[in-house]
Amino acid sequence: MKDVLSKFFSNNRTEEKPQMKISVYTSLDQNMEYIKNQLFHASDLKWRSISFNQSKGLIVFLESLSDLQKIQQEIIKPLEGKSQGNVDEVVTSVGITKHSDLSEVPQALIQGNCVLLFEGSTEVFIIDVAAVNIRNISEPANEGIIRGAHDGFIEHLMTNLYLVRKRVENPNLVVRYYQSGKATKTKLALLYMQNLANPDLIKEVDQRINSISLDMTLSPGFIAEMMEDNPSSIFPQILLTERPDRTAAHLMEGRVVILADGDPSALILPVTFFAFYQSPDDYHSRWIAGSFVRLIRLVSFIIASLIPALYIAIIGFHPEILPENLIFSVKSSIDRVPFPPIVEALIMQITLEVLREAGVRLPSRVGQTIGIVGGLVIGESVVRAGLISYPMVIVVALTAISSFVAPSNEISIATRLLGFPLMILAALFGLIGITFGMLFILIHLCKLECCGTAYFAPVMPLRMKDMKDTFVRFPIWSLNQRPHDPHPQKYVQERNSRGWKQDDPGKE
Amino acid sequence: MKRICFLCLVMSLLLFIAGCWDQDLLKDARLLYGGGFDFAPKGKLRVTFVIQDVPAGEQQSPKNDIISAEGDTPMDAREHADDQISRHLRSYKNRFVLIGEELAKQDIYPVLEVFYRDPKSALNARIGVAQGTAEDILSLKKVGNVLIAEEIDELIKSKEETTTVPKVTLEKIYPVMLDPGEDFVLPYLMEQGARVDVSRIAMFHNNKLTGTLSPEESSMYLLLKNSKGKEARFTQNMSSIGEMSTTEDNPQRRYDFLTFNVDKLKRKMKLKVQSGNQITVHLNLKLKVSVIEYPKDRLEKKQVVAELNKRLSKKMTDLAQKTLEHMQKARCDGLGIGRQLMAFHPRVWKQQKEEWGSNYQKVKFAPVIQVEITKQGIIN
Amino acid sequence: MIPEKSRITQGQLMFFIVQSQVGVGILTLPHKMQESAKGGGWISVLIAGLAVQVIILILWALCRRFPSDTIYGFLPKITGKLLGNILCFLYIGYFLFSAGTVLAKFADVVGRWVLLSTPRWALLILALLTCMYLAKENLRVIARLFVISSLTIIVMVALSLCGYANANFSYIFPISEAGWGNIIKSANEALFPLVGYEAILVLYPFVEGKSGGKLKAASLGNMMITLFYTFEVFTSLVIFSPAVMPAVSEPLLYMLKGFSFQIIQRIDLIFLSVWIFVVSTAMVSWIYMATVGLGHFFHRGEHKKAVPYAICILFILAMIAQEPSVTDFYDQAIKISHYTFVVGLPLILLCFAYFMRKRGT
Repeated sequence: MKDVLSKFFSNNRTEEKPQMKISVYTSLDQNMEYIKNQLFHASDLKWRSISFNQSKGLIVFLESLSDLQKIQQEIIKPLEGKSQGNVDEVVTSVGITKHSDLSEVPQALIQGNCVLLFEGSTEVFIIDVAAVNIRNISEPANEGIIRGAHDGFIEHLMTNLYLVRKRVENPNLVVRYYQSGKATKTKLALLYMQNLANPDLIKEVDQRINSISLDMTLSPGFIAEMMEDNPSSIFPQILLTERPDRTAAHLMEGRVVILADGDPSALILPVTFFAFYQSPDDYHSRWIAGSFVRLIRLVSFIIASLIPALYIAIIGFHPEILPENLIFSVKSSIDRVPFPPIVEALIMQITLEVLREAGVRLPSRVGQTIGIVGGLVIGESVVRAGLISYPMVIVVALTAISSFVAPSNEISIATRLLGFPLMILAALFGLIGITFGMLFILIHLCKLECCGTAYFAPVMPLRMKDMKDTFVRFPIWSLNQRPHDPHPQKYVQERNSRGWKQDDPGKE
Repeated sequence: MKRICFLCLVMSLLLFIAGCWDQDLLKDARLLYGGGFDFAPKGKLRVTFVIQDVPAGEQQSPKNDIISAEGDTPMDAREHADDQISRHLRSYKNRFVLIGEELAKQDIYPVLEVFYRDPKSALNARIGVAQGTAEDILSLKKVGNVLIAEEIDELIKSKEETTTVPKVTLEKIYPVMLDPGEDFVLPYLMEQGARVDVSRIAMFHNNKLTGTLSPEESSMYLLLKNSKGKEARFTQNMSSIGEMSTTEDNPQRRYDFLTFNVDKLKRKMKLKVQSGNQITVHLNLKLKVSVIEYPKDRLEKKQVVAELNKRLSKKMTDLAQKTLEHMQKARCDGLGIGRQLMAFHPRVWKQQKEEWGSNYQKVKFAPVIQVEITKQGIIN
Repeated sequence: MIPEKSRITQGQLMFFIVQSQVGVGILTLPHKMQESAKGGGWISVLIAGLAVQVIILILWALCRRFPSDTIYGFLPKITGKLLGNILCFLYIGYFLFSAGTVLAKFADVVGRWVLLSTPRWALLILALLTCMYLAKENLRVIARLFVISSLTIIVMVALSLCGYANANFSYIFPISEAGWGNIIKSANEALFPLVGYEAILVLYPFVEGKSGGKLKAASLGNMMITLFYTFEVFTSLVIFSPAVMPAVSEPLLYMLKGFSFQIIQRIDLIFLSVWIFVVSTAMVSWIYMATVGLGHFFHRGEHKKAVPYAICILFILAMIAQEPSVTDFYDQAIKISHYTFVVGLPLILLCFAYFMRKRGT
């Protein structure tokens, strides 16, 4: 036990050093001893002895990672059956490699391979028998849509790549693997279209991924934060999505996608602000309906960030803005409220955030409580008790609902956060404060860049052609150029699809 | 990072010192719904304010609080009124201003000046002249089931739509008030029993009340001014014997009246200056009207309609003549004749500027009104 | 010489000129025009626009000789190092002074119309912090924002159209009431709200494309603004009778004050909010012009570092100008320096450069 511990510690220290190459011992026991030591006598390290070509052999594997069925079917059964011949030929596994360096073995084992050793041989066989335990491909819960594909990414990188490859069956789709996380060795995949994505962009992204130096890469949030141009901005600059169709669409616009093993979110960059307000639904419904819905979404952004501030400014500074019919009903409601509007608003906004967060954490069986507590207690009683006025409750409810309209959770939180500084400015300067706040936000949006493309792209810098797919969605046949913001290599994406219409030789 | 900390610090500092300098909380305000100005003894001004309160709760109806105070100027009087009520008196939702008849006979601009100077005042408040004193009318408190303030506001509003009184707000009379070439007119409110009647127009000259027009004349003036509301109804006696015969003399003629609504109005005003600075104003009005009530006869025959057209034209022209006469007597240049002179005959204007009031009385008006019946309702 | 990030297109130049020109003047211009030119005030604005066009031509001719230099670069080349540098500093001073005047007037109007008791310093800090945030950026970012904030002009026009409900066209007649002499004379007065086109002196080398295109962009911008101003002056003239105009110093706001839509009243507050965008951008444009110079001399061409100092100066300038006497002095000083630095000096320099055959590379 003692030497194990000491080994553990000593190894900890030596881990940093480059691993020395150790040739495979001829003695099985020695090899086994080495492997055991390297894995610190892990309890899930299993082995089974076997004989082949009259020599004794060992199959070593980690039972937690290996598919026992596979080992039995593809290794043990053929070896036992033939008992003579070439190992490469006898074993029916797909991935089988020969190694003479013993130091590679532990790494191979923890990736779910099994190792085949033979007495007297200086080579080991590493055979891929990794177990695949994945959940079903299901629709992402937080990015639901009405019409269109209902599949979503899962935690398994290969499945995710399958989903994308299946959608873009094109050899130009390039997949590059990276490893990030010094300790966890998380696998990343960088996807882009070779003939579309801007080479400068790829170079830039490649450089940024390579410069990530972390012990652990847990979530794509880590990667996003390492890669964003302005990490301290309130706005998300990298789009996270769990939808393969969305991912594929962005790939085809010449953007770059990063997938990480162990996480169902794809990182898409560079994106513009408006990408956060696009949903695949826009393209599945008819274009007029799609445009309408998208407009509503963008208006909801303005509502969510501005309405509480406007309410404060109007009640506190310029009540004369309200028309006379409205002002008396508002006044009768706020007369009893003991707080100034800013305090009222802050209380309600923070309550809302708390409720939302509680709603996420609570198990669904207790979830109903939230409805009762939030809706009845806070909504109704707070007004009855005279703490908060009805209009304020309406304002907060509007804010909450509008912010949840955004198809991306990141932007929805950003909108609500944006409301707070605006509220403070409104409490200080009224409408003038809000105007300056809006100007400030606009400047900030104008300033933001994401890998060399402007964040607020088709608006700042102004490009009328890209407006077709920004505030509204024009019919697909009129979107004959890709958006310019990622500077794709080819712009044309549609060529006279409705040509049949012109060809009609005006009969009758 | 340092910058963010600094920003946060500034933000929180600002929040704490947020005296919110200009904050003017709605809940701390008592909202003025309307006000009246009258003469008080010793050359003082008496103001009467209607304050509208809406008690909290769902089924509570609003209440009016009427308060009077005296002072040297409107603002002074308002301060005195403010002393008598809790919270702050705020006038940014003021709906109307009433001016007592006696006060209106003086220059009313000084009374209204404060409304124009205050950046928060409600310039879209209506303005009217009260027969007797404004206080008397406002003291009615309730007219029928409606609070006096709402009643006055709504009443004037509905009368504007029926082309009975002009659409006048504080803002609209401001340019006219200071312009020497035009006079304004205001609705004239009368107390009748426990009700308020708005059907007449009070005429002003040089911002002083100089007379009133009868209800018919008021509507006619508005037609001449080319500012028809949504509807404009007239009832004319159609008896051919003439105006001398009344219904009592001739019972058959009892229902010999025609009520019509002016659907379309086309006005042409031409100003001619002849030698000797004789100013003639040609007013050509073309009215397309629909008959609303005509108990006496049917309108299937073309001759009947033509005859009616002719007679109506005559009647209306007479009415116009009468209206203009009254206006000239009151020296009220409500059609902006002076303005026209100023713009298109500046030389004439220069000569007549000094004595425009009396010169205006010498202006010749030649109104011609053509009435054409185009609609007759659903029966002939 | 010019970094890639600072290059702007000709369209952006146009909007830059537009945004620099529309400033505080728009609110008070109708009042001033009526004062001197009566009903013909709107013609004066048109004449002033033409005059500005001529000046733009001069400035352009001057800049064209030094296609890769800002004014701070070519002044020493024309007049020699010492004199040139002194002139540069005078120009910086002029730009800062203009920004300070704009800022002071902005604080005046807001203090009069909306925030009556908010201390001036708080307003100034609010405005200056916002301006600083933008002015620190490279030219391209500034230009992008200017393009978008030009939309506010459309909003302003739309809001002004509301006023036509109360319009009386006879107010502007007779057009020549004040006499043609006065109308032309008051064009002189109308010149100052139109300032801002001198941005071309600094921006010229940053713009892509040929010199002809640049002239076209600047002229187009000027034309738009002249028309916009003319429209606003005309609107005010037909809404307020000549007797009222002297009493109302911000006719555009005043006419919207009494106007109300169904769900919102006090349209003037909306107009004012929109106007703040315009004023801020004008201020940023001046600050940028000044800080490019300051950066040229003190920070090796990095204008970013000079911004905080410029902001401090502006704050002090605007704090001083609280009394009407100081404001009047500012106005006078601006007028004189405008003629010297934007009309007089460039003309002299142009002649000088022409005869000395000085040209930049």
